[in-house]
Amino acid sequence: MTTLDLDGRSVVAHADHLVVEEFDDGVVVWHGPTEGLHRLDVPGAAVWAVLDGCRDLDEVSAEVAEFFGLAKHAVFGDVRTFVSDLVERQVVKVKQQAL
Amino acid sequence: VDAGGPCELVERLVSPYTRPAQVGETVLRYVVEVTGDETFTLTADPARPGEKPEVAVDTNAWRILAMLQWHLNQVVVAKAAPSYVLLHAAAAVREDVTVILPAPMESGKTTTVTGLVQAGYRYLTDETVALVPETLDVHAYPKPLTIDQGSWPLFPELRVPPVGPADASWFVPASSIRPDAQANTGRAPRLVVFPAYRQGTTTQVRRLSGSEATIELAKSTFRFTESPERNLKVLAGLARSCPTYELQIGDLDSAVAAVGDLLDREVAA
Repeated sequence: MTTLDLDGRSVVAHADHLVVEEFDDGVVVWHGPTEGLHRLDVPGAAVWAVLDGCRDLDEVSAEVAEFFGLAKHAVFGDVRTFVSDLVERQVVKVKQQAL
Repeated sequence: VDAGGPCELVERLVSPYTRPAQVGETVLRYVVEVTGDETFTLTADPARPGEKPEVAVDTNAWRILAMLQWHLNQVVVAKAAPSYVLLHAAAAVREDVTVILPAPMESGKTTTVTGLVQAGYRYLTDETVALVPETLDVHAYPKPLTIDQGSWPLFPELRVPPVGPADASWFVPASSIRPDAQANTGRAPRLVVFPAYRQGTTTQVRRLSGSEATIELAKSTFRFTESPERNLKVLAGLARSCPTYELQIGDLDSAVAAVGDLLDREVAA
């Protein structure tokens, strides 16, 4: 999976077999199958919170942009790159692939 | 047991671990055999699952003792891991307030906790902190302080016979620092400090955030992957319940003072 495989219509959800601990300064995620422990900072946690398997990346970007008081087009690239990284780390799964 | 002889040293090493066996309990027996060519063989009976009984073979008796200490640590961790969250950490208590010092090997855990005990703290461990998952209370692992060569000049008064070759560690019971230095348990930690000795630097502290602290605590947890959900919840709870700091250690006196200042601040809060 690369950033090129995700577009605004891609839908992404949290993977199975996770243990998640939330903090004021971010999120810590344990993924059992890969035995990976990951720390997401505040912007990362904001994206993580809306990767609910219902919203596509356009909607996720809009939510994140609103949260930080930015324009959607200003955050979409970063959101897509970040989500691609989460896919590589296997802590999220792509439910609906871009066409 | 000869006073000051090697048998006394072995007694000093193993006495914290020994007690009368209870009915149905497995007895772990170590044997050291010396063959004609002055080769020492350390065996454990019963062997740990998947391992041979032979723990170490060496011509240097001190390395055999070090292996005995290492093997005992492994056995204790394996036995305790199902019931406790086990951190690779030193720990001490001051006026009923517990501070733990998680860190990898060679970071300054033993040196720092020795300095704390000399400053009046009570000793819980220099190697493994056992946290009760429900309460975060700390159980002592009262092994002798294992003081490596690099720290000997800091503690010349702790040089107790028998003294081995230049590369051997000193095995120092906390009670030899002060008769009442050993504590059996500690309340849930009120302070977590990650020590890191950096030669040629000045001592300084940096506060860690909750998520940073949780990651660092996880790195210091023995057998984290065997109970990841329980362990992560406990570590996150610890990170939320008490302040956590990185302690860059330039010298021991300032490091001990820094821990004291952090504890003062926590108690005052």
